[in-house]
Amino acid sequence: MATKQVTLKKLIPPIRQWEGPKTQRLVRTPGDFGLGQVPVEMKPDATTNVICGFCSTGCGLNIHMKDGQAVSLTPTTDYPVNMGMACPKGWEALTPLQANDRATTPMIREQRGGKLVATDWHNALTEFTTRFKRVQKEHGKESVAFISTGQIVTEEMAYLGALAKFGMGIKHGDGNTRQCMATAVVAYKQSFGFDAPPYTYQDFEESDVIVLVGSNLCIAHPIMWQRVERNQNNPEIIVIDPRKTETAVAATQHYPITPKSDLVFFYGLAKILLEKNYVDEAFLEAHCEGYQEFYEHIQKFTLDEVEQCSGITPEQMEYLAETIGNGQRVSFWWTMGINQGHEAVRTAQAIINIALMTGNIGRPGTGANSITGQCNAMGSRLFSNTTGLLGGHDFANAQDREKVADILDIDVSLIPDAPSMAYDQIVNGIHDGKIKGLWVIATNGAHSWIHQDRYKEAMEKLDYLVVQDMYTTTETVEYADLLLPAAGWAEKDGTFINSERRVGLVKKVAKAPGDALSDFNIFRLITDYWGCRDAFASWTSPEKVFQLLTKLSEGQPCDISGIKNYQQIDAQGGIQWPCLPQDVAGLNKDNQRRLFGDGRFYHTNQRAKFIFADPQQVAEPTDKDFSMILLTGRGSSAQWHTQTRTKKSAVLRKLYPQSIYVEIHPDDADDLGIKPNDLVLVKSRRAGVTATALVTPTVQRGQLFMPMHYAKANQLTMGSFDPYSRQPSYKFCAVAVMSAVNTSPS
Amino acid sequence: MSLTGSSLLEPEGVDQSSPQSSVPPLEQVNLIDQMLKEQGQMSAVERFSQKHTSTQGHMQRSYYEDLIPIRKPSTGEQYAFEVDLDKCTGCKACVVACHSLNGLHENESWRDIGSIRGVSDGVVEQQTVTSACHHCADPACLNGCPVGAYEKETDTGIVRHLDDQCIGCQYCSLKCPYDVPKYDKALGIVRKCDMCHERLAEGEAPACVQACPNGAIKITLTDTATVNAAAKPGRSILPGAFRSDYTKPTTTFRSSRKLTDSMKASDEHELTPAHAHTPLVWMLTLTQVAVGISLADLLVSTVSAAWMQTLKVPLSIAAIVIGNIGLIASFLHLGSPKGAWRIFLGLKKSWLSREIVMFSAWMPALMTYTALTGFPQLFEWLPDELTATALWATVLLGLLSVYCSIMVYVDTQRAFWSINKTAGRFVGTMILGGFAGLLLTEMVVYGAVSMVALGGFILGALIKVVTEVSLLLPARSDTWSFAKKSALLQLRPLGQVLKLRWILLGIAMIAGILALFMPSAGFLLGSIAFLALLAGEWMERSLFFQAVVTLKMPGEIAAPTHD
Repeated sequence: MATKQVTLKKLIPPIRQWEGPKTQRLVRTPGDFGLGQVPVEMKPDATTNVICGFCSTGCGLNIHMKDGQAVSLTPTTDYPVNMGMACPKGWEALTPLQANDRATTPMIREQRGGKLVATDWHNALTEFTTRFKRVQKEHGKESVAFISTGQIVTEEMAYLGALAKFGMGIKHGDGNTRQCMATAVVAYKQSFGFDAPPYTYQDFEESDVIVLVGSNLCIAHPIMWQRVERNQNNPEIIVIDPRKTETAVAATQHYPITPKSDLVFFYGLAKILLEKNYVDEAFLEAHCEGYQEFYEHIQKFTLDEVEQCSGITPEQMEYLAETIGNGQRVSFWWTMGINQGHEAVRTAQAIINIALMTGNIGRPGTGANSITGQCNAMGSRLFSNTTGLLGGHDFANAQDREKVADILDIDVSLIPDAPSMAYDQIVNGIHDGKIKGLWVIATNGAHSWIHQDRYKEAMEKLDYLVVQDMYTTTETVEYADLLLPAAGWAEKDGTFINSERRVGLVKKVAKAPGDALSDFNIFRLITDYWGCRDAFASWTSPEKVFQLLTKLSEGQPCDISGIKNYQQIDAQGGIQWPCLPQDVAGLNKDNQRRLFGDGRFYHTNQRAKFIFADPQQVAEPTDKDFSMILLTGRGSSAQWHTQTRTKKSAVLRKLYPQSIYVEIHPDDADDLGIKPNDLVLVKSRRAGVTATALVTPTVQRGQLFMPMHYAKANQLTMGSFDPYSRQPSYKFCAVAVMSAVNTSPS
Repeated sequence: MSLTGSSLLEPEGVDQSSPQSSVPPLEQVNLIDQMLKEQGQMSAVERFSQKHTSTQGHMQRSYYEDLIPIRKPSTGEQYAFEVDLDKCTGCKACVVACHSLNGLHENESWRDIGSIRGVSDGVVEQQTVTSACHHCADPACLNGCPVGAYEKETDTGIVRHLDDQCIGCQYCSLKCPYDVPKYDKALGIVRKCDMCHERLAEGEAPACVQACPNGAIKITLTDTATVNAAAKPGRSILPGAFRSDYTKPTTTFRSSRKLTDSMKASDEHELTPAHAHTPLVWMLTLTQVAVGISLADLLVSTVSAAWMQTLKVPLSIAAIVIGNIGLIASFLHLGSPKGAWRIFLGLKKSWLSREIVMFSAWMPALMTYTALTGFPQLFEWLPDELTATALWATVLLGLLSVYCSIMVYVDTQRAFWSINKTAGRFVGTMILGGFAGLLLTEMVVYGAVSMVALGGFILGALIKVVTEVSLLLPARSDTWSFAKKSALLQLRPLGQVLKLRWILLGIAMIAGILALFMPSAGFLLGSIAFLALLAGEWMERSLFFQAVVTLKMPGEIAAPTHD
């Protein structure tokens, strides 16, 4: 009877079909490992924490493993950086690894303009050494250079820098980090005596006044904004930015200054803080130098001058000064709006000066804090061996060279006595015929470098270009004579250092496709083929190299000699520098550490320096023909830089416009006869670019904003650089805009 | 020449002192092999301690404890989303977390983010808006579903979709004014947010709630009175969202700032055509023409039965053929047609269900009528009046079917598909197509046409031209409206289709007029006219679907693809 019923049930479908194969697909099940419910098909058999490989926030991502491989991820609940949260890029971090344009084998381009053809590693490496050696033989050792990245692990950066300079005789190498934080490096070095962002993310939660300058935190660093949201002090949030960004909307005060009026603005702010007696004399007396000269310097920056220059009224300035002056714990944070300016170093220092004069440094919730861009920009600052010698040392310092040679067990004569040329100087070097061979690692200059056409011309002028990348389709690969296929993030081991100086661990949890190798192993192979294996005998694994780096850091402000191995970093939830052996015991109690609590800075006299200069005009002011200011920057939180990875995720692609757009003020649009969503032509002295008009009052009149993620944006930008940091000025160039409706295709 | 060139160059390319590229030394080969092997070895799990191997429950819980209710809904209550817009700052983590934690397809997510921007009381504002299914008190998806694939859970109020019940007709996507149910081509069904009901049942927060770094999304308990009050006429859950009295959405959006109606969706001006629904274009055009043929038959028969006598059979056969093509096309539209037998389940509320049931009755009636007229000798034993009754029944059922077709679209509440506009199109097609069919048949059979047929045809053409032109006029309006957007969609991205639509109608008219004056070529010209007319109507119907403004929550800026 029962069986009959069952058979009947099978034969006659029910009126309402609550069960079935399609329903089954969405069933969730407890994931164990403290995860809560997960989709049945992706239930893990292990989990492990890996630091995200996009931005410098350095979030912990809990990788869900099945049969030894990553199947999914969730943000790590107990990681001190992100506390169980991630931005869209983090959530989708594993997806770009599966892209079908991954480089799976070395590829050679026999002829310029021809196709890249697959080859094997032996051929590729032979070609690599032969061609570069020939260039060096013909044009001198200095004629080969490298451009590296903030996206690979520290051990790989160190290996690359050491191999290039101590092994291959390369003198010039720089990173794409030049584009994002070179300014902060120089500003800190000059002001504090060492490149040392003083903060910990906890400071976001402990401030009562948070000042964000040129930083759209909500979009560019959503997980840092999370910390702002967690602040229980009902803080004043001040945004200084020409645009009414998402962050400006969420802030309590917004000062929409005219682009690049920032230096005048901050000097004027310093003057009014002074006049209102918000100066911490005792702190200045005990811990600073150069204040008197600074005092005299700022006298000429009157409120009228500030208003004329920045558009901010005297009343607004007074209110701002009072907010800062009355704050007990004021923290100042800046990002690319400052770093990417024509006088960026001095502007960053103008912010540092305000933090110093108001005594807002070294205490919880304070600081003059640069938020870095890339996941391992900080690793590159200390260990890339480009501008600085490994471990925050100085190429020009004989003692430093001796120390490094000793620890690495190499001949000191192999270490150059001067830093590399900067990125822009290398590009110029190519144009001038001094650089003939270039090795590009994990970056996409043909998309991201300022004044793009000039960069592309340089690539064409090279005798030999090697690109080492995860993908075969980047704009830069198009020019490569040789492509070396690299394993990506999570396909290899190593460490990143995040914005708050936290060393975090990246683990191999996914298999690299085909014959792709980790950059580390590529460097090992090159060491061998180049014939310099003796100098690198001890560079056998990322962890061994990490231990070398901890030794190199000894005695430096960035001393991490207390870190013994990867397990320790993993168990601790990342470790901030400095970490001396005696610091280790305290980490369990407090894993949020800041610098300068004792008021001692890294200059030999232990004082922080007031550094300042007279404001200079931008390189390309607006005029009759090019009357609009073009700003570029982050478009959405789902996009990362040149999009080589983020555009490989279908769900991320949903979250931003597929084609380039430009933001324009409604009144400007009206004047120019531009309707919302019209195609417009944006022209600079360098190029013309067609884009969709996004008419929005969030940009000011006379200004345009274009997201940097679309390759065409940098056809417009103008190659001007801060004289100290050599960082490109992406935040100002003169353009004209006009309707392109009649010339549009449909 | 080039071959020699390159072969000469190659040896030069290799430094003689370097190892021969073809014969790698053994140790280097070994090193490469070793590296490749190393690359493939996965040891992270073994090397790093398993921190949470034995952790029970959900570690994330402490972050969302306050964001979900501590008890289950009681009678008259239901779960609802509540969004604190002050905390929604546009990171979009919720969208991706929903995708990821629910194991959804490639670009599928049940949460979406858009934004509104503008000047509100003199202050420049922009506000990102996260939204998912609003688990409405009166869900339009549920009301529209012909097969009962939706269920509003009595205990939680969650609007559940029965994935194995769904036939993939996608009508719910048209019905929902928030564009929530999304069609999945691979599965042939729609899927939508289920508020992570399995998680909620265990005291876990839904994916989006868990993942918002700012805690902007909450699950609350709301009661019928609150929902009804919020859904009073004229209210909407957010500037730019559809009026709430239609479905009574339960989501609340809170903001400390003034978000006025002067703020507009960021994608407001975006002109991307809507889904083409090609099988439905076929279905609607052809069934209406088929019904029109029977209607013409009936009307002319009452005026002059004798004239119609010889025309009835070929006309009805044509109606059957055309009608069946239309009905088969509609079947092709279904992603999962296997469950289509349940189509009657929605009769109570769903115009789609009614439409299908009506058409299912109409076609047999039409065939019966045709059999009765075509083979009277076989049915001599039946009363004579039956044939006439059958025609009446056919026409009546046909008209009711077309009425249901009209209501299917009217019921979606879209301005472009309002009763007048939709009836103008559908009834127009019916009259125009029916009388055109009659004209052609008259031409073929008699070599002449009747005035009644001609009159009907002209009436149909007038209805169509007036309706369609009236939908283009708003393009010239100074103020922005959905009507203007639909007009612009037709004129700009769909400009080619629009042009073709009028060219085809023109061809049909010219060929038809020529046929009247050249009876010798009547069959050929008439056929051309009829086919061009059908093709023109097809284009019109394609515009009907593609130029509609999809009702949805405010979207994000979306630049159409261009070089």
